[in-house]
Amino acid sequence: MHAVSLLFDRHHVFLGEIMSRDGGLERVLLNAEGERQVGPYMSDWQTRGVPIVREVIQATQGDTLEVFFQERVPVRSHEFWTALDRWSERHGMVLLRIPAECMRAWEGLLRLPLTDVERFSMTVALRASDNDHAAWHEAVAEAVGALETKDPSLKKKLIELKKMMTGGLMKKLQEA
Amino acid sequence: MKERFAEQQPPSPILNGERVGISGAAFSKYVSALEEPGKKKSHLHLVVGEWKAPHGKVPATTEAYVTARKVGGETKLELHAMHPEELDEDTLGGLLSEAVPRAMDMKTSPKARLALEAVMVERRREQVVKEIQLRVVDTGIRYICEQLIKEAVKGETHMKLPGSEVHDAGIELLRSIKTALRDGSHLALPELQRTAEKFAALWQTLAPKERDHMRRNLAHLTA
Repeated sequence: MHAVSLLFDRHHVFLGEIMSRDGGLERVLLNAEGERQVGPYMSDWQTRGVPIVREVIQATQGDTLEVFFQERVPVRSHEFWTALDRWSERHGMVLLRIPAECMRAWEGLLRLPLTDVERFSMTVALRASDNDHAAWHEAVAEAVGALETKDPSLKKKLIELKKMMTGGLMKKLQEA
Repeated sequence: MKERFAEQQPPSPILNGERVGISGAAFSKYVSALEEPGKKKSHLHLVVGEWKAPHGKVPATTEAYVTARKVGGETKLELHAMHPEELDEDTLGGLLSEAVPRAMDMKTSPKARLALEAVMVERRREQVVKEIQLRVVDTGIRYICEQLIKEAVKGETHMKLPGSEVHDAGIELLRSIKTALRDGSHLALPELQRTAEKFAALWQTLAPKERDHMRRNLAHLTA
């Protein structure tokens, strides 16, 4: 299955998109900040694989011993995404898998004058919107339209988006 | 450096920690960050042991692994690495981030992640200091580098770059120090070694007057 994941750093700065198929890497698109923060690792992973820690239990003379060791997962392996997700978490980053139907709204969010935190929070809310993706698409498209035509209603449309974001995050919190 | 590691008596001690660049105090902070309030305190003992070839389900090509064994009320973790001094941050950080919480029956948290990161930053700093002490022969330049390390760790340095007459190699050295302190990837430390060696080679060719000029300019850049 084809999937797109978005990578954010600890300050919610967007770093790039990771396209995967059945867990294996298909393509990476890093922006300048992503290139700076993740670029050196990416080039290493291409040749050596992504590190992942595994655990095994070994029995020794009536005793059990837990053993943790690191392996490298090739980028084309089905375990790539899991390894990357764990690596990101350890480095304080967030990897958000985003449904294909949300991509258009996400691309719109990238163009809007939002802070990193707002863009990240909206992406989380958009992802959690389940059956309400259409409302997001519409609201983002309207805001992008206002931005392109320099329409003064942009400010109002951004406030609308922020309201949707708050509602979406609240819903997600309640579910949790 | 060894004395600094030995003088501490932390609740979760580490034996031979200097081999992997981790102090007992830093490791204990990480263990404390994993503890939940109201729960019994954990006593973990981490040992950087001698290399023993892995067996069983652990692949023979594994270069580092951690074993966890519960002995009485204490959990003993043993780190075995073929070359402990050369372990990269991803390997060491990865093993500790999984083995320590599991040994404590705890889940990792943002607080614990930050504490582990602090362990890694301290380790990075030690490595950079070691490199500078090893490769920069001039005491004046070494002092400037050490000041830069101190300030960069506190996150206060604003290095004034180019536009100065100082030799490129000096600027490159200062830049790579800053990068190595910030960047835990496998590339930063070798890059520092490269620039430090280049600088050392250049230093040999300088006349006393030029050396003095270099010291003054580098000091000015980091002031």
